[in-house]
Amino acid sequence: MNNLFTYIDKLELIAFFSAFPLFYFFLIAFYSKPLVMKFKWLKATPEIISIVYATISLLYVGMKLNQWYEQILIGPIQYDIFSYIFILKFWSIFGLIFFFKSLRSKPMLALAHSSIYFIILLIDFFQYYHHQYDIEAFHNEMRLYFIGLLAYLIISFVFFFATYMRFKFVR
Amino acid sequence: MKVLNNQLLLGVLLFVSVLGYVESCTHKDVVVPAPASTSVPIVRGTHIHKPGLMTKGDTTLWKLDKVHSNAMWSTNYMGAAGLLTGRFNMFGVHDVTSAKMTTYTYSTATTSAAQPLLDSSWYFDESHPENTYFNGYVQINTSNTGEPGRDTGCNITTLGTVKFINGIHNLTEVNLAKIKTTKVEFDPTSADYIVSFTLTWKGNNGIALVKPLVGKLKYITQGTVGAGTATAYGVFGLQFQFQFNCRDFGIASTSISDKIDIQCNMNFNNK
Repeated sequence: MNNLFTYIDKLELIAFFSAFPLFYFFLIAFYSKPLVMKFKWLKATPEIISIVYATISLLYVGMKLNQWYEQILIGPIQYDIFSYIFILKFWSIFGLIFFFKSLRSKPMLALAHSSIYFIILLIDFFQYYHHQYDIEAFHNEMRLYFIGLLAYLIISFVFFFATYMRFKFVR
Repeated sequence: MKVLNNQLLLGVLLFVSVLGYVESCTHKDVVVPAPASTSVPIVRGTHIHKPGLMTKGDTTLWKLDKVHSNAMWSTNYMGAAGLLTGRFNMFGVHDVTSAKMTTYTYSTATTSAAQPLLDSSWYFDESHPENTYFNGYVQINTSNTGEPGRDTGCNITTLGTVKFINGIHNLTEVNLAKIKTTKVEFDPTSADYIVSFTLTWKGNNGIALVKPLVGKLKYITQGTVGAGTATAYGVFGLQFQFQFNCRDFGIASTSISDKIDIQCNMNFNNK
């Protein structure tokens, strides 16, 4: 990381997307037929997982648009379109497609989409383990990783609650 | 089986995540060491200087180098203008007791007058100021401002003394101002010393007043003159500063300020 702004961009991506695999497996691990039979509103769990991911992507894109708007007021923006951070930022936009009904039921695709961000975190972890990465920087990333997980849990709770209320009163 | 695979993957991810979090701990909750002191670092040595009988040739004994020392005074002219300064030509480091307060003759044939009393009433211990003491005196009528008209004229009556006579050390009460330390302690803000002492002087009063005062003593650390030669010898200096109110001693002249500053620069060697 030879650029502070590039590092901040990386931290933002880690905060928003890297915790999704853990969140995914946390829900999927306990998603089973007997449970769905008992709590019918849990049937929507795979869709909720995708919607949560899409919501996080929407929040990230919204934040980036806001930053871009503020920057463009100052002057022209220069992008290095061949830097991996730029590519990852561009890739994050595709998280919005999980709002579509056809892709909503395939949370595995969302997992595949987010795995690249988790792999970045893993690479930094191995680099830190081999004393090639600063502890302060790794500490920042891990802290943001768990804050991101918390965000996923809070948003999923909101969607689960809405689903439950809808199931209870609209059924 | 699929659930088991998912739970296994969850376990692995959870393990990796917790491990990463634990490894990233920067131990910032470790108690930080106490901050370094912001006070000025004061370094004091362990030199001890004593006069003994000031035996010539004994390098363990230190002698006042009167020729290269001085006792000076200064005050504001007319109490408000620039400094009026002068020095005392005759001074010494001796505890002049009542029995010794008399006149002493000296030969005028030599370029500098011999001291009336041995300059041995002092002791200096750099690291133990409680052991340090000194006694000093000046002959008032040897005040030298560079103006003979003043020095042998108005100064004599103003300061309540008698005219200087060449060949006579006048250590009588009328012409003697002496200081005697009562306590010497470290100055907490510098490498110097705070000296509590008494100033005894008759001035224009009927009897001598013993006034307690406080001054500052600076030690100019021991050095060697002519190091590496056969005639090398040690030197050190003591600089003592204080001020007093001349009105306490009956000095009524309005040509000078109430406040008189005294600076004594004493050099010693061990020849």
